[in-house]
Amino acid sequence: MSAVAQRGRAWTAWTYLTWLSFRRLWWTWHTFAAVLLLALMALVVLGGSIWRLHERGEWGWTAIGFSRTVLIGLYLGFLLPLLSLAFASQSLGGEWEDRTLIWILTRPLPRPLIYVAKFLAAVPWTFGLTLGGWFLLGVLGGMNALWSAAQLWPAAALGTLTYLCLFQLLGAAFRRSTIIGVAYAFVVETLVGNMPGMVKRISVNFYAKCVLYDLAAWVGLDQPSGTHRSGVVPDRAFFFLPVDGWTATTVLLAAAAVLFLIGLVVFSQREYRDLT
Amino acid sequence: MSPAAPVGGRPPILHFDRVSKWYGPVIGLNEVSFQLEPGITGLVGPNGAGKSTLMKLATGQLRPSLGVVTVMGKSAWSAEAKWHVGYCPESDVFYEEMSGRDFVRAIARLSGYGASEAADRAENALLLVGMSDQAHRCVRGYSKGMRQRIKLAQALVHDPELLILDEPMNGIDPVVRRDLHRLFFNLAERGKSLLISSHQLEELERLTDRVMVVARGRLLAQGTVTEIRDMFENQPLTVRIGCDRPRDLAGALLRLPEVLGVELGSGGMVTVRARQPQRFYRAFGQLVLEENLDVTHLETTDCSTQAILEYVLQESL
Repeated sequence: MSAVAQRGRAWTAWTYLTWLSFRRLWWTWHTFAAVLLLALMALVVLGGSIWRLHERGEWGWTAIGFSRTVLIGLYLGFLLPLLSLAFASQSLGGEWEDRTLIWILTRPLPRPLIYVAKFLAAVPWTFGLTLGGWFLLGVLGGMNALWSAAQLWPAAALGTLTYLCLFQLLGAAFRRSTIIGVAYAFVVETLVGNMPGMVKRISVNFYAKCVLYDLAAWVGLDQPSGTHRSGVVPDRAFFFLPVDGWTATTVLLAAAAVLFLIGLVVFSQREYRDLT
Repeated sequence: MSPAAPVGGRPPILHFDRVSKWYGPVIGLNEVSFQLEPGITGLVGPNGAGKSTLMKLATGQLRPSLGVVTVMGKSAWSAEAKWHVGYCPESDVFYEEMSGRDFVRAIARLSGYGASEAADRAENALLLVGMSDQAHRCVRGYSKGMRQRIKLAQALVHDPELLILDEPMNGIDPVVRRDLHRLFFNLAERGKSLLISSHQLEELERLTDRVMVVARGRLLAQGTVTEIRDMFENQPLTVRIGCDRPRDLAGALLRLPEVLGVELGSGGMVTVRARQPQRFYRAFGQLVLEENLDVTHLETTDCSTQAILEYVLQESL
């Protein structure tokens, strides 16, 4: 080593941190739990396809049935926040829980850059899992289901982005962010998100569903077809009280931006006292 | 707040300026001020004294509630300051799935070095701590001592000017310990500043006689062990003296007003307890000359770091 220390470069450190964080997210028990949930959902969809083959003599779901039951009812309303949680809470929260965050916080990297690196590292995994799962269910649901999934995926993508920002914020703010995230998913997204009236507007999945209804109308899925007496529209509009697609998209993007910035500030200011 | 005085034209490597740190209603550190000098400084104090808080402030993990902590003139919280700091924490956490070599390389890369330079630096650091031949193994399979040495290697990998080492000798066997002592001396000779905390005070004594004593969140004393010992004028001093005529010496010593008691031991050794150390040593020198005594051994038995720590803690009550 030289007598006068030659300094490293912050940019090099940051790109390596992003890569290291991405690599270390590959397989945790959170991932295992998420994949297990997805596998269970895949079995349900596959079961539906087999049932239709048995009852109607044709393989797969109808586009409307798949969109309403699987994509809206199960995926957006229940599975999406849990799948997003798997990587989003682990990226920072996992390092905190394992106390390996000490190795990053004592390096010459500005904290906002660490937060951005951790966020970027979680992006491919989270989107890969949520959109991969979305299309996997489409494949298992047959041609019509896959067509629906291909038309309506932006709703899942926008929801994923907002959840990612939210759960990364929880990872920066709370030591047990996974538990808090799961509690949030059940209470706010599943319970409050399906309540009548305005209160559901605090949930992310309400806006994701609104985007989906708007896209469904765009591709003509809102019209009754075959055995379905109604298309992909809210069951009772007075109960659901939807907002239009552009408003929902704006709210989701704005919420993602605000949550990301709050997380950035929280992480930049917070003292992590329990690492050593 | 007083600005940090530059040493040799550059700001001090580590400067605490009236630093206090509270954890809610609990005080972790109370109005601590010091400047760390090049060389090895021991940080001693009982459990819960504030040593960890001090180290966390110095490594930018915590921010002071009051006062300023700077490293080379930059706030210790800033990324800029962390270029200069190598930290070996007490906690035993790693990226367990990595090999020792990969871990040290990863830390070098997180310090901003490209792949090939990080690899070179990691090899140098592993060599310094004697882990080159074991570095290919997975960290989770390492013994406590090996993990400790990997932690030291990562602290050294970016060649920092300031090393903060929290209990660095824990679990390390005597042979490696000797090599690490040599490494610390070598680093100190190169002008690095090492702040080492240890519960093993004898261990610390072999490394340095310069200590900082912390208790109840306060910096109670700072300096060499002798300097600190001299602060306790009224604290009796125990000295073992070897002499050709121990009985004559014992008799003469008893006539000195500073002497509280004398004990004759085996092998011509006399143990004397005296107050006001400086006056005692002056009188003792005079006495040796007057009585024409042949002194073969002179040892202050309670000038150890342990004794100093006890005196300081006692005085601070």
